[in-house]
Amino acid sequence: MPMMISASLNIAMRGRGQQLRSAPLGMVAATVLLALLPLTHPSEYLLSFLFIAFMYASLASSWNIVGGFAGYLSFGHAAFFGIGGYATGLALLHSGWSPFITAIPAALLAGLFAALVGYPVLRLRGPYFALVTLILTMVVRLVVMNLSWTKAAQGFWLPFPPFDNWTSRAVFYEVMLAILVLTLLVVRWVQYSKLGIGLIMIRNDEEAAQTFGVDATFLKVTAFVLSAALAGLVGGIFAYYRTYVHPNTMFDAYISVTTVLMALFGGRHIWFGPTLGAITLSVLSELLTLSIGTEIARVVFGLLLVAVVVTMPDGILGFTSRSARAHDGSWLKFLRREKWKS
Amino acid sequence: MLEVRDLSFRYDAQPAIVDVSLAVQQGEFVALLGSNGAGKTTLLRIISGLLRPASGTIAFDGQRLDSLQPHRICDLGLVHVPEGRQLFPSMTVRENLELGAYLPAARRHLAASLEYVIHLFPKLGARLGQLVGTLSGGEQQMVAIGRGLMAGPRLLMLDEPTLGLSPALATEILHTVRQLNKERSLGVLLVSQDVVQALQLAHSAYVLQNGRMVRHGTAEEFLGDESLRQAYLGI
Repeated sequence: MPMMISASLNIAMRGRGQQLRSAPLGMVAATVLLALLPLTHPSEYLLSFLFIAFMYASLASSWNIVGGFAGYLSFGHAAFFGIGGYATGLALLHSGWSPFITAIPAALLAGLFAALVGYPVLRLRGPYFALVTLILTMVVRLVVMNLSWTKAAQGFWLPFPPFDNWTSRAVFYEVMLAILVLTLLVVRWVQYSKLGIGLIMIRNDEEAAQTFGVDATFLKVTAFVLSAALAGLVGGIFAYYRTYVHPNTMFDAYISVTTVLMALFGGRHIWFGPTLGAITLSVLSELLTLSIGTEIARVVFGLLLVAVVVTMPDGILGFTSRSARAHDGSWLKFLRREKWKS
Repeated sequence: MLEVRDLSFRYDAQPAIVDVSLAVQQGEFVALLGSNGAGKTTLLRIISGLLRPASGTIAFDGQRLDSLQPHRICDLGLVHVPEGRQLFPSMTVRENLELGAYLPAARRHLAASLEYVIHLFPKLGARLGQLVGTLSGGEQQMVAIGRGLMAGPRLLMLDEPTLGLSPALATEILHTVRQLNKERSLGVLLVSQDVVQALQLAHSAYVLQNGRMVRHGTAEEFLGDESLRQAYLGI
């Protein structure tokens, strides 16, 4: 046993070295540039827009751990998002603790909840799993709506952050950027780890995966917990950003569905696909709204999404790059070089 | 090596396996015969842990399997190559084979196992980079068996490996199975509709009928006794 542990540590460290050397160079550069953006004193509008875009990018990326890698299409991401939001909101309301700190225990709480519901729910497959996760959000919302200590259907206001308006927007922007980067690092690590290989085997054929030594239940629940905790982190910050916490905004099926669409749009086979999808769709939606008005923009946006999903089932990344198409093994080459060889 | 005793299983209320016993010794090649719906696939799925028996015991080298998860059973060296192959079609031949060696113990021998699989199935050697979905049925079956071998089995359970293959290819595959049974003294439990060929290669055979084990004997007994063949095998 100790030998196994040291071997896998060894593997993990080699993996990390590789990560620093290759693709994320672009990621590091983009992160630095985006982090410096507030120095140019952009408008509050731009900061808010990017905050929301990063939020969806993070949600879509964390969703992808379960929905993309394992192939379990969850329509319940908002449940974990909302739990995170309520946790930080209530902590601020009752104890005055800053959500920037309580977002971390809030994420753990969302993860714990995912472990409890994931164990039974992940036994379902395909449309059954999708439906139950969709209902899960509604059930949590109903429960929260009827409990007095969550302020029931009234919701509650939070005190404003102790900054002026512009600074506040800049701070939220930086925090959400940090969360997005963290999410991407986690998702990337998952994809290239043994967990990711197992999840992709599960998506391809769960039974075959099991007969080749994949502990499907453990891997699925682990993925679900990771995914939920990251969503809880985002929700915990979003509640503070909105300063108004209400069941209908925190447990909103629209958030779940948008998250799924963005991930599918970008491409679920590669870790950065959902981020690409989320950013592209956010910009597109905003431009359409600004140019042709909100109502028509919704219609055009919806039609566009249908067209894209029908013509590019593997997302824009799958459409443009052959290796990101349904070819799941392309990233295995990396493993072969780095750690798959024992 | 493998000891199945008084195993029973029901799909809902419908009994599918009733008091079945079976044994495979180290290095033995055993054929499991029976008509459609007799329970052959169900029996293999119970042994590999995909289904839970209602009663009875399964032991592998003295260790009880009947309450273990499938991935633990694979780790013990009992590997199931399922019916219909269940490959990962969007991955290459090489990737499919590598994934067979998912567990740490198997991964340590990855290179040697891969070499052995290519030695057994030279056709695969030329197609390592090809997507499995684009292979012929026979080649896919070779990948399925190869993937099973990558897990480093001591007993290999093959479910209908010749289904839908041309007679020549079926013969080739079954002879390869016999070869690795000899070369590696690997235990084999083979389910096949190809009764005559299975009996020619196997040491012994069991016959399942309506979920019950109705007959057990050496392959020679089955082949030599006409009434036995007619009664149970229809040949």
